[in-house]
Amino acid sequence: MNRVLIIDDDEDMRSMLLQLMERVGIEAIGARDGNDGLQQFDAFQPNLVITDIVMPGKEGLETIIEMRRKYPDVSIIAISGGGRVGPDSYLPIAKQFGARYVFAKPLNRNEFLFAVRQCLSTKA
Amino acid sequence: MLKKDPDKHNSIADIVCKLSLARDLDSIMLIVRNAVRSYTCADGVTFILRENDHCYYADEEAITPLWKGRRFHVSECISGWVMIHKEAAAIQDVFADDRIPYDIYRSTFVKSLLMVPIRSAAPLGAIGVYWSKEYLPSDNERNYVQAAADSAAVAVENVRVNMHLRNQIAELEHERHHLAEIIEGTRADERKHAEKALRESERDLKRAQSIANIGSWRFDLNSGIVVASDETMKIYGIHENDLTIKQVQTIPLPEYRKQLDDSLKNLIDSGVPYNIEFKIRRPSDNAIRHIHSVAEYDSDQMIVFGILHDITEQKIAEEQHWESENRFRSFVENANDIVYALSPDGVFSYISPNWLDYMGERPDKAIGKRFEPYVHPEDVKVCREFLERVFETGKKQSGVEYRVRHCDGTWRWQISNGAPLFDNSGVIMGYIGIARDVTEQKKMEEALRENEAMLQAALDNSHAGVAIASAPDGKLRYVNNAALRIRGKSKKEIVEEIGIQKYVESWQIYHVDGRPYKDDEVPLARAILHGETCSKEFIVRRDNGEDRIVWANAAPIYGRNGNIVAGIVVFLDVTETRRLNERLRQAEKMESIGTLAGGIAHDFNNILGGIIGYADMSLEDVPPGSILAKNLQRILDGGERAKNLVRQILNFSRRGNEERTPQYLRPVLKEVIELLRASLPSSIELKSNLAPDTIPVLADPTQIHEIVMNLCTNAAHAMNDEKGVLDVTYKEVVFDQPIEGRAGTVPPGMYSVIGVQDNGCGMDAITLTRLFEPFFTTKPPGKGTGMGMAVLYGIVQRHNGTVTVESIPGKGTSVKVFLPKCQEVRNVTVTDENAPLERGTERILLVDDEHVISDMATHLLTNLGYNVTIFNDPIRALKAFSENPDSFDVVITDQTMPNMSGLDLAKELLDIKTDIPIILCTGYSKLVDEEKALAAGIAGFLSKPFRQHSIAHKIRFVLQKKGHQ
Repeated sequence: MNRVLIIDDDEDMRSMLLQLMERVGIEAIGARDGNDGLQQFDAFQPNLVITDIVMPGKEGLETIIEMRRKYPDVSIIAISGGGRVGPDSYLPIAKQFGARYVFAKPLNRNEFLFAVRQCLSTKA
Repeated sequence: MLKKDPDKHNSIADIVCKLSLARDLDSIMLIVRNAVRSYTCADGVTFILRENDHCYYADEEAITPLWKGRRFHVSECISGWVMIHKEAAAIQDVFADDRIPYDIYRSTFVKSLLMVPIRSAAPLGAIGVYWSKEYLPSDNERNYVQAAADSAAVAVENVRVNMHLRNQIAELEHERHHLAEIIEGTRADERKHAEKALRESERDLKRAQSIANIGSWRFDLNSGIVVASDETMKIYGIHENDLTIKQVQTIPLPEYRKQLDDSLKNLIDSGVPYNIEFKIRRPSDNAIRHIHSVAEYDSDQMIVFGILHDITEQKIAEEQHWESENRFRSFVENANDIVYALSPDGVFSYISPNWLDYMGERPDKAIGKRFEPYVHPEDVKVCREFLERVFETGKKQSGVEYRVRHCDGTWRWQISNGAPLFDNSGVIMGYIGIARDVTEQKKMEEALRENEAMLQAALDNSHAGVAIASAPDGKLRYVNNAALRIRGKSKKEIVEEIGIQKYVESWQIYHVDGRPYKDDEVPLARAILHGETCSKEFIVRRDNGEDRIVWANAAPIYGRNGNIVAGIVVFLDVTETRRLNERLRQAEKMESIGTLAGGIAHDFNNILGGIIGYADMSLEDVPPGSILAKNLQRILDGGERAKNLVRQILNFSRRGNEERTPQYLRPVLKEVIELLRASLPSSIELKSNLAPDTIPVLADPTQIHEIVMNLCTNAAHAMNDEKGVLDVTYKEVVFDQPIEGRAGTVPPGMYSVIGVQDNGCGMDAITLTRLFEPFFTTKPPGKGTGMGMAVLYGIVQRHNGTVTVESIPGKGTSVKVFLPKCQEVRNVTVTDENAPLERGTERILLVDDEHVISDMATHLLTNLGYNVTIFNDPIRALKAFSENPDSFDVVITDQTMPNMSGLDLAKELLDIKTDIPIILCTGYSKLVDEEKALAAGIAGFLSKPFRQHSIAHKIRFVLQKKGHQ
């Protein structure tokens, strides 16, 4: 069974992604930030983690590093709306840290779903 | 030679004084020879008297005897020559002068001599001065000996008169005795005659005494009675004769009485000559008179016989002389100025004591020396000329300035006035000068001159304008070069006769907001009229209409009594500073907007993520074509626009993280131009002039593409779709000066210059100022985001370039983008744009949802010879392909499309025809991992926007891979 953990502090975004997963028949749960996500990981055992970067609490880059260390098999997709203070994008860094795909918000649904399917069909 | 001892020198005044007291020739000779020998340091002095045709060597004092007591004919001795010629003779070597009787001198010590006549006119004699070595007496010494001789002449004459009178008195007295005896005799007639003769004799005696102002007296010790002559009574102011000695002794002033008593006693007791001066209070009028009395004692008859002489007038004259001499001496010795005398040939004959103060050496060291060694070599000429002028004109001259050497080696400045010195006959015998030390004054003058020069240099070279005007008319007195530069006019045009009423008109002064100034508002005018110190900023308008912003600070200048005598204004051209400040303000504004925009973009993207995501999902749930579906589609469209706007905001404010590689820009520009040709309305004529590239620019071609597109879009908009010309140029230019642009100043060097020029509506000043501000747009709502030029600004800055904008409202706009060339071009691999384009005739299926892009690509591909079929919807494209797969040789598809991604489409197409070459075009999305996509069957990738060379090459490449030729 494919399971996706969605970590995003933006509630609208999180619930939209959960609905999108539901529509394509993928079980998914949401987490508010990196800490919340890591806590839920063990119980939920997802195949794919979709994480935002700029979040309060544990932010995305740190979350990716920790996930890769703890759960090397899990696929990760990073999504970001860009820096909050500076204009730089963190996505290339997220990719370097181990995110398999990265997407700038707002997402292109087709591309995004393609990536999700890719991740779920093959191992990281 | 004697050693000179200045303290023992007798001044001429001393000699005159002593000689006035001398009553005989011996005293005179003694006084003169001692004084002369002492002064001249001579080894011998003789005193010669003329006796008709002979010279009588009456007295001498010498180291060995000379000729005392001997007489020589006037023709055979030098003293005779001196008396005959009435002039002095100085002989350095007596044996080399034919006026000297060598035989007479051979036996003596004399080697040199000075012989001066006693009294120049009708000489009475001569004074001879002798040295045992060869010696030439100085002018000073000559003058001294001559003065002594002249003084002696007077004294000798006086003594002679005195002697003559004494002899006459003695003779008369003798005759009186003789007559008295006759009277006492028996012969009455004889007595009668004798009495008559006696009376005549007494009358003569009285007359003689009266003429000579000499009285006689006789004191008979036997009777104690003093008999005085009439002249004596007159001198003493008494009317009774036959006074007792006691009575007589009451007349002298008390302080002299003891001296008189002692002298009389010494005469009577010891025969000591009675020769005494004293003062009396004349009983007749209480006047104090000076008396000189001489007496002899006849011990046989016990009678003291004396004469007395009223010397009051002589004493007064002497005292006056002394007073005058003292006054002069005091003046000279206490004066601040140096008093000096020079002989006609420039030798110092006198120098006042304060020479020591100014020159560091005693004056006697300089006396006898020439003046030149003391004067700076450069100033000797002017001093000589000055002296010559004095001697030639015989008149006082003033103001010669020269340097003299202090004994410590330093040079001191003096200024001197001088006049000729004349002798009694009116002949110039020397020069007397008064010199003032003006070294300090000169130093001050020099310092002042230096200060003035420095101040002048500072003013001349200052970047600040300086103007000084007199009060109260405000007429300009001084304007420096910088002031003229700021105004842009010549001195003649804006300085002469310009007063307060003409400041504004002449200098074209306006307020910063453009209002004209009033004359009395000008800072300089306020300083002059009201004593205000004020700073203002205003505009000075040059004749060519150029406005310079000027900051001026004016202040009054006060005179000694506190009134305003002038005003000064210092002003700076701050035009550039203000412009830079404004630019900095703009840059800071852009920076802060960028930072803000970056922050907002994050939240915006999240919000848009929700909006687009939900709308997208909802669209699936509603019937296609329903109103709800249309509305949701509008939400999606709006979301897409917002997405693009955020992308642009991020593009404007992005820092770093860009991959810039060496690029030739000409191909990028050619692509943009091609793209533009497809999209611009036909009313706009597109011109281009692209020079070849020689050196690449380190650039992100996508961004260069974007800025040129932005510029051209703006230009097209400025022409408002009306008829116009859009001119795109490209060239390489080497700048040797920094380039000042709106995105900063860049250093000199080689630049790629992209120019975009239109003849559209142009921009006003405000639009020009705000041009690069994010969200600033002149387009109607919905037509523009206001980010185009802001993005350009950001990109140009990140490429270390700059941009200039020139625009004239109604005429058009010209924008130039300057991008620096690569410093090093090694290992640069760039597309060779000069290589011929690879062409083909295959059939291409082109899929892109963007109409503009698909139009442009079609244009490019058609130009290359291909047969192109366009689809803006991937679903329709898939349908067309599936219906007739063999009608296409190559598929070029965009990756990012609604409904279906390029990759999804590719997979579907490959399912239909496994060997169809597919080129996937990606823009900003990094979704597609190239390696994996290739594994999935994609034949090649292309970065958007397209470039002609790369797309041409890529098509040939994928076809070759599939075995097509």
